[in-house]
Amino acid sequence: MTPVVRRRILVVGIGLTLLMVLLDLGGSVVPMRLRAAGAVAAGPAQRVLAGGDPTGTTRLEKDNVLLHTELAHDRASLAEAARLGLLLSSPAGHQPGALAARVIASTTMASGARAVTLDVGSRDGVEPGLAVVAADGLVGRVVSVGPWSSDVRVLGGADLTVGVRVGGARSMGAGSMGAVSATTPPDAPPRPRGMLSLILVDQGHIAVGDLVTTLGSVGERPYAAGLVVGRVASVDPQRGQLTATAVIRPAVDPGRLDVVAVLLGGPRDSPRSPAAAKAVP
Amino acid sequence: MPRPTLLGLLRAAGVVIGALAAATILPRLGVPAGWVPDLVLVLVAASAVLRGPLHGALLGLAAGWVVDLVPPGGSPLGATALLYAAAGAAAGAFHHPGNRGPLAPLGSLAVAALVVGAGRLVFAVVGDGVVDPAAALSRAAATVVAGVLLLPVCIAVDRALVQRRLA
Repeated sequence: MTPVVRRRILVVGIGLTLLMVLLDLGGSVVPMRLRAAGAVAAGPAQRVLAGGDPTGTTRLEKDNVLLHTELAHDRASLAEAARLGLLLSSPAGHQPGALAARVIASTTMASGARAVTLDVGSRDGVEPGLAVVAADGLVGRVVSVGPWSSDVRVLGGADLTVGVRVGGARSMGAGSMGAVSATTPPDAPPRPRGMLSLILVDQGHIAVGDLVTTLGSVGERPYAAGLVVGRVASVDPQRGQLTATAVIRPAVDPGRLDVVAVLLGGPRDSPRSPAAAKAVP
Repeated sequence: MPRPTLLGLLRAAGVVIGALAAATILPRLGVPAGWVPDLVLVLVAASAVLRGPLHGALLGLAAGWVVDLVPPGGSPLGATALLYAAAGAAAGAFHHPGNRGPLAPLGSLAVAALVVGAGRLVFAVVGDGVVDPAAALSRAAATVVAGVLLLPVCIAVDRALVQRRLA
């Protein structure tokens, strides 16, 4: 090839790539399709390269994650039933399906956030938007799915915000509501690496060591209620803000993820009774 | 269309293996997240320093697409391709036909790693609004360290194939 031809190929290639970057930043489906194609091509190789399981510890770890998840769900159900037993119809028989999975690839973005790839995909029933948990608590959310693998945005990414409750156990009530994300609120001191920020919806009472759990979502998507997000590491000083803010130490270390579970959940198939509908604002 | 050569096939295989290794094998072997080297960038720099900026940019663009498409991949899609193209062109600027010393390849890789690191920070500011310069620096350092080991091998293989007219 002559240099002129090569230069032309380079210019066209860079132009197409720039177009793809803009399409991806704009939220087009074309980059998503290309990513899915990449997952189809690389998924099997990555599953093989991630290695077998000579000792059987992976299976035990998977069981551990599944049992922890069931326990968290049962605890949340029990607490809910105890508080609102008369008003809410019982959530019995509403187990979220948890699908054990292994981390087969990971990357660190320049923002310091993590993204990981799991060895389960659309063939196992995984869909974008599902929650991913480890034995210690919430990991993140599925963002894209290939047939054999799926990509997960880990808690700590700038675009991941989780509705939470704080300090429910201490106050014997439901706990204050708030939101956890990696974005430091204005007026708050800078966070150490790997820490998250909590913003309460109003002036609640937070203490260091308080457990932070998910608030729950409609149809348990993406997050079922009662999953552990982390603990309060420090409370920001009050300087006249409208809402209280705090630093959260995530329950799961994103650098040490291995065996996790995808919560397949499923929409609620029976409507709540009218009493419950009135009780929930 | 030119016929594929042994060197071309080796280069393509190296890029795919490097991308899979950086995403899957190294993290599983316990390499800390901030210290995973850009193995593909080493290949790009090795080839670019032997042939010049135009070749470096073309190879970087193609290799960056492979890195972007191997899950979990780059965000936004295509960003790594653009950065690798710039890095390949920068590495190609160290190309001097008479020079066979070890410093030019290493210098080209260091510059390429810095270009990619700085570019990633820019994309992080645009995309996420949060940056971690320490992670970018440690990654560039890890890449250069990997290059000290891998660059001489890549360049020796490349030169041997060119001499045997397999390029």
